[in-house]
Amino acid sequence: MAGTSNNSSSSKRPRRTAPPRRDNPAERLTEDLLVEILSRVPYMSLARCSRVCRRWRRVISHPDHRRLLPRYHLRSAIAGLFCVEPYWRPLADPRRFYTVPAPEPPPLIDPSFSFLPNKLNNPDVFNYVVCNPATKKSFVLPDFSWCHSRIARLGFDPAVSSHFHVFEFAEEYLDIDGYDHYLRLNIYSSKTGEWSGEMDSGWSTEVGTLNRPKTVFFNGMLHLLAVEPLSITDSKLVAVDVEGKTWRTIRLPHDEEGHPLYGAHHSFTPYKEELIDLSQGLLHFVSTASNDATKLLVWVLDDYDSERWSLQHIVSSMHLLGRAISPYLGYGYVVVSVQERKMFFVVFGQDRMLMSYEMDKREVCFIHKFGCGYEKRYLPYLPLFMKSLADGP
Amino acid sequence: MAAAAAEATTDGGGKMIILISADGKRFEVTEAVASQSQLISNMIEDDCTENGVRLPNVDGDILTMVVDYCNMHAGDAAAAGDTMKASSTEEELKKFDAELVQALENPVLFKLILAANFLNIKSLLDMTCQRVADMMSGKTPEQMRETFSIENDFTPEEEAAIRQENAWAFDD
Repeated sequence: MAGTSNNSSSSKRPRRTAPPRRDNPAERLTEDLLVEILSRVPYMSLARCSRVCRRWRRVISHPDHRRLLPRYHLRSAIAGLFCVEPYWRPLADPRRFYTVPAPEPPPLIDPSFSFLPNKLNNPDVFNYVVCNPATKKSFVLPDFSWCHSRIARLGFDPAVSSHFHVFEFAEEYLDIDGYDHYLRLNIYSSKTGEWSGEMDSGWSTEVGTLNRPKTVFFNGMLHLLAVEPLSITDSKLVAVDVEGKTWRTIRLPHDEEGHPLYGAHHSFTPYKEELIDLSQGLLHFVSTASNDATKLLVWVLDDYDSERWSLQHIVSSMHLLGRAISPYLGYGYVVVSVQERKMFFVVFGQDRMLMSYEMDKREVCFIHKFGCGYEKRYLPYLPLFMKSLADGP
Repeated sequence: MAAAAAEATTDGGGKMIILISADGKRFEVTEAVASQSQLISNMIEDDCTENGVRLPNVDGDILTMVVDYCNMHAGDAAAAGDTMKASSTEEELKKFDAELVQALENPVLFKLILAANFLNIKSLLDMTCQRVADMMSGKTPEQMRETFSIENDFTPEEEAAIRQENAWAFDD
């Protein structure tokens, strides 16, 4: 309808008449606009976009844009789930991985949590292995004696560095009550090729069990949700940098009198649902409301330095799941990931149904039924297809 | 539907603002309609819309579409005050948006993106960018070049190297 040939009768003609090819508006898009568009393209198509022309390739691979581009809002954003219960064990056991069927299945390796026992040479020796799904190269970390009380997470931010760090926490109880408890950390750097050596936790002594599998590497620090030893009430968001020098505790949303605004338990269960994740460059915290376990709140850390959270969204479990939650009857749910474009994912019920929820549209989408299972802790598999992971020192 | 809104006198209160396109077409709209553009909203606040707002980056035909869109959406934006017209129902809006976006093709679509960006109308920018993203999805690089009239400026050697780099994505 509104073609370009509408030569109006007005006198001025500010537009120059350039050859049609050069006047192509697609080429006049600024880089910001191109990123705006590309951030909405599913990842397989994005990889193809990078083959269209030099300019697109440069924009897609530019470090400034990686935070917006590597993960996408479409259903295929989650390729699968790792079951991490009991969560002290290494993750990448294929029996613990459930894939979401896709026309183009991604390689089953993810740098964000690929820690495999290295059984190539000696089945008794354990080494962490970090893999890059783009190149399928894997890198074996040097000698290590792993035991069951340890948990490891990868710190990798392609926007900052092509090197990665592996954070390994060891937790031990010195008495049976669990009060005398310590937490230690050992950090591996792919830049130096060495482990830092074990150090004591720099968080307050109240920070103990790392109670959620999902961690977020952001601002050069690994962020995780922790609870006091033996406590199921007050969660803490803690962070540590790659050198183990800065230890931070970030206050979760509170009212003016200091009462938490999150974390009610459902009446049948000691579990409250909570998760941290990174979406569009901001930390998100999803949790049940403080006084009502049927409401799920999504908070955003607007101002990292002043620890200011704002409430972005409220949804009732009734709307989300289409029925009342009742964990005893197998209708519990687990929030597994927050994604770009205001979307989060939950696993629901005995059949472990993976569903997405789009906050703006309040729209629930069923993605895949994994089938019967009892696990309660999952890590989503979000392949990061960047070549930039340094494969060694 | 895209009849130029020039000289249209809209019922209801609110000051009228005149928008002038690059090719000199004039559009008279209410403040409520115009302030969906953050750019114009800022100008209204700064009181510099007296002599009309010149938009040297936006052609008349594109501005016609933008004004249509803003007229249609003025309902949600100015829901608080009592607005002109019975504001469109949500369903009508959805239908209008869907039709608008479906009808868009190169190069009008890109011009509309540029205009939405320049005028800073977030919802229109979101919608048009999504449309382009949808057009990209599922296409091979060659199909994308065709769709968007882009020249392949890679050398054959470069193309081979890229293909090598992440072969998993290239089943085409």
